Amino acid sequence: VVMNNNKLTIVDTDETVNNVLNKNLHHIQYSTCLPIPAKESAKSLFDLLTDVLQDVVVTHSADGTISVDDVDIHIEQEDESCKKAMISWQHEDEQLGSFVCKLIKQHCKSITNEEEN
Amino acid sequence: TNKESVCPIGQLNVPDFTHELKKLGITDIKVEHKGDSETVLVHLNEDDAIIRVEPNSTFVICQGSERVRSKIREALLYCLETVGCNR
Repeated sequence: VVMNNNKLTIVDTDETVNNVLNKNLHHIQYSTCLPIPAKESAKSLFDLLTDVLQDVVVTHSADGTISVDDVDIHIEQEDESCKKAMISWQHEDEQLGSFVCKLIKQHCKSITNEEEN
Repeated sequence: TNKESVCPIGQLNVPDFTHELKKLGITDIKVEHKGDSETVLVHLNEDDAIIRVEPNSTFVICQGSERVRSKIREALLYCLETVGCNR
């Protein structure tokens, strides 16, 4: 919301920063690449995320990308024994992005531990 | 979910940024200027991370270490100006 000539206007954040401060927003994107067990699939991670994050919209698109609100997860199969989850989010979604990372990391660790025992 | 209430603005000064990283204990830093473009790549080889800096954006790629990523984030927010925002 910007006050200009005694008028309140709701504007987009990028536009506000540009017009009022004469500067651009600096967009920061984080991508974290996590190794995941070979038997893990986009479907099993989707089930985990929908189960834990019940108040957040989790979607699973046809190309295999999982979106947790504005946090995106791509599963990459490097070869038969090596799979990775690339988790990406913008600066403003830090709280959710870092939580999703921690959750997937813990989940993969518990699966690896189960397999070893 | 809660969005961050502070938004970074302006350009990142790469020498200031690498100085902050060093203060946070990240010392294996290699800065690469991409030809004539304004893009700068900051390689943190020992910490398995790469940061692509452009005039209005920064892209951080890490290999899973939350400790390293949070140091990069801290250095970025220290070096960039910020404004309060409510999205």
